Amino acid sequence: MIETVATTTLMFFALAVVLRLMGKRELAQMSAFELVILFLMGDITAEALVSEDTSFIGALTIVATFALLTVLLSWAAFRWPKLRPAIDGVPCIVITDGEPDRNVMRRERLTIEDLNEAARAQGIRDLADIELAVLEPSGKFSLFARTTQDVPDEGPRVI
Amino acid sequence: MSYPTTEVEGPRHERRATVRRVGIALLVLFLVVVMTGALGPRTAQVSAAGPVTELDVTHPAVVRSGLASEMTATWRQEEGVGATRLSVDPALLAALGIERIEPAPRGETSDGTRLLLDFEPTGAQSYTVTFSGRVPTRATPQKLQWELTLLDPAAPLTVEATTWVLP
Repeated sequence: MIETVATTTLMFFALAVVLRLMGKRELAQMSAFELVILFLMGDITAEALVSEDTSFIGALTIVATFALLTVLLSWAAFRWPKLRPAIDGVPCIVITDGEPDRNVMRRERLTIEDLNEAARAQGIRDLADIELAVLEPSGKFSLFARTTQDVPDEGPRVI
Repeated sequence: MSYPTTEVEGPRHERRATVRRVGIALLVLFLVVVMTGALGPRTAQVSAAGPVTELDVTHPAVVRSGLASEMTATWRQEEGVGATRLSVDPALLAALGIERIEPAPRGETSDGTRLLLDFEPTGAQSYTVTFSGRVPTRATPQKLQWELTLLDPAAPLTVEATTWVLP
């Protein structure tokens, strides 16, 4: 049973690293294909952990190990602030004053369509109307729209 | 102004935090117990000795559903092992999901409550029989007390043991 606990611990950290490597985008903006891949990863992980031990105690051991490691990680993030970026991730600014940051977009593999979609979801018609857009570690966007006086007056639009 | 949907600080909140701490402590305790091997799989050995024969049985002491199981019975005689009959509790074989017996007995009979296995004489000083299989995936949790008897013509040898079947 020590092997089960050791394998589960190893798998927990391997999954944490893999999910971090996959980036924030995969967490909230999954395509159908990415969703299938994540399910498949879960299935393969379960196979490797359970192996031949299909007993109730075996399953409870794996669940308990995962639960305790999760609590341990969140406690470590709370106790040592320097670990927080590694454990929880860091938010990144993708739009400032209506200007998308291309470097951040490239790093997070975000397309302009992703930003448009996030803006639409918040009822914002134009990226230019966004004062600040933050991609949170959870993969969700926090958008702050510009107030009317913030928007530069470009004069009447000619259609 | 009241906010009925919000979680309020106070004794109830404190109680929940205590319950959570106790839960985490129980999970840690469970894992410690698991890592000591108390919840199996674990083997044990029992022996018996007569005037001319010795019998050693290594058996699962704690097994769990779906795991491989193995039991060995070894008997020794100074002047060489003759034809031997083993009397085994069928409930034990069912609980352990025994499917193979190596070497295969030359005959299997039943006296109604016990399975009788006959083995060839070999002339060697010791003889080992291995029972192997897999515990059924939905095995009934139980404490199984069983005995295995070597029906030696001089003096039958019996070992008694307990096997715990856990979910």
